[in-house]
Amino acid sequence: MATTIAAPVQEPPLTNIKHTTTQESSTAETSTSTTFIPPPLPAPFSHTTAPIQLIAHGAEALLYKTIFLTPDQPCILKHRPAKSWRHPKLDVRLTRHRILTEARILVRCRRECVPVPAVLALDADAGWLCSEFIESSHGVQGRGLTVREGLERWRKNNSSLTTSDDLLGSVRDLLRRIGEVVARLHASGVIHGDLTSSNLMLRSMVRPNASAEVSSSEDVSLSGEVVLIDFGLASMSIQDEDRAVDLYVLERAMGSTHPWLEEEFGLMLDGYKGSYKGANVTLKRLEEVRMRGRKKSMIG
Amino acid sequence: MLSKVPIAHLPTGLSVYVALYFDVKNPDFICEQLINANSVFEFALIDAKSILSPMHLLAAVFRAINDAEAKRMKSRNIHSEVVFSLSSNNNIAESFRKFGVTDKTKDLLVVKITDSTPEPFERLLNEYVQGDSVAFTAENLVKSTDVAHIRKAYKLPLTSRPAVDQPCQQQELEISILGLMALRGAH
Repeated sequence: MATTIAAPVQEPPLTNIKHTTTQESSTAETSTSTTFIPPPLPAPFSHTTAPIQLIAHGAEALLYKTIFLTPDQPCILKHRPAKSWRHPKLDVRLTRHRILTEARILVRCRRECVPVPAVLALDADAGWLCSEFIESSHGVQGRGLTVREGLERWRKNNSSLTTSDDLLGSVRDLLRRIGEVVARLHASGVIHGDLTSSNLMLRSMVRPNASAEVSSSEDVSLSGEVVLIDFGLASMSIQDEDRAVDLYVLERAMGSTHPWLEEEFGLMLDGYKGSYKGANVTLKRLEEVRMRGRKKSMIG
Repeated sequence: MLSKVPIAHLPTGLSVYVALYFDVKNPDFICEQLINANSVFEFALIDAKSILSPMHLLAAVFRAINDAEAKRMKSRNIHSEVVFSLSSNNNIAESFRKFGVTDKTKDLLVVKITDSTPEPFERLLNEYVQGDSVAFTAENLVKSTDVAHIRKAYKLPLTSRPAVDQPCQQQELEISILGLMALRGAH
């Protein structure tokens, strides 16, 4: 179980040099134009009449918002387009492997009651994965806020407060909830691999008018269930080293994105501490990782 | 009564029709058509007790159509592929035993995927299926659903997790099933 599934596969050098040069010239051409032209959608979305909208694109994949089967079921389509610089056979294999690894881990998490988006459908050969759209009644365009957006919104709404203020309550509570969720993830044998405040979302289906009855003045930007997203770099492991590195990455990412919160990070670990049996061992290990950094062996 | 079911992202021209029958009197006859691979009587014939919700069925239809379009069907035709797509493992015969029509079937779900008009198929069903035709809706479907059978078919036993309310549990079951169906054939 301790083996890493998502082991990076070394890409062999391309044998066809002529191919690479033509590729370079074509990318140089596209980079001069200012608008981004996404690669064609995979089948069966290539000829769809349903709404489909690009919402994000990273180094490996493009994210679209669309619907699954019926209009009342919004979903996220993650497309890993073919990489023209890789050998086609290798490319298909890598894409297939990455789609399946991500889907397997999501299904496993969901079964273990770790809050993650549900897998709705996939096609590993075509390179796409449909997953649940994280909805929220107080997000943006129906989508839940990321923790990053939530924290930034909260800070803007509460700019008059100082960090030592008691009103940091909702922030502290969020940090604790994040710790708990990461602990549940680790307890089910999964390492996220890319924990940042952008890969944590807040889902809340409280009707706006219902919450208004409780307290209209309350800031809801940090409320809701913390949901982990983007398992593109996730792997299976129950080793405290891997778990500690996962936490270390989260700490560093949060520290650089939200430096105003640095003093409060201990609360994340407080939330983590009591949540599963091996948590204390992991936290011990985290101290070691902090001293030396993410890489254990100092090679590569 | 075959009713057209709109599914997003289908290839142009293809339509999906579904009919639901309660209290079918002649399951053995229908079963026989299936076993003899009667090419006139070509439908996906599913025991309605093994279907949790319209989404459950339509996800299988979606996968079957997608696999057919990509030319990687594992079974004889697109209709058998629908039954196979319901399964969480690669055993075609087993998928027919668990989800397909048997001579003990009480409520029957019929799916037709076609690029032509549904009338001839409708006539065939009217002629050969002896049962009460009802509308294909979530409310009707749930009357046939046998959750225990479904949990067994997907090997998803009811766990003694902290008490979750029933609709939530049903939704989680649906999500688990969709995940298992999507991952079938992954190696």
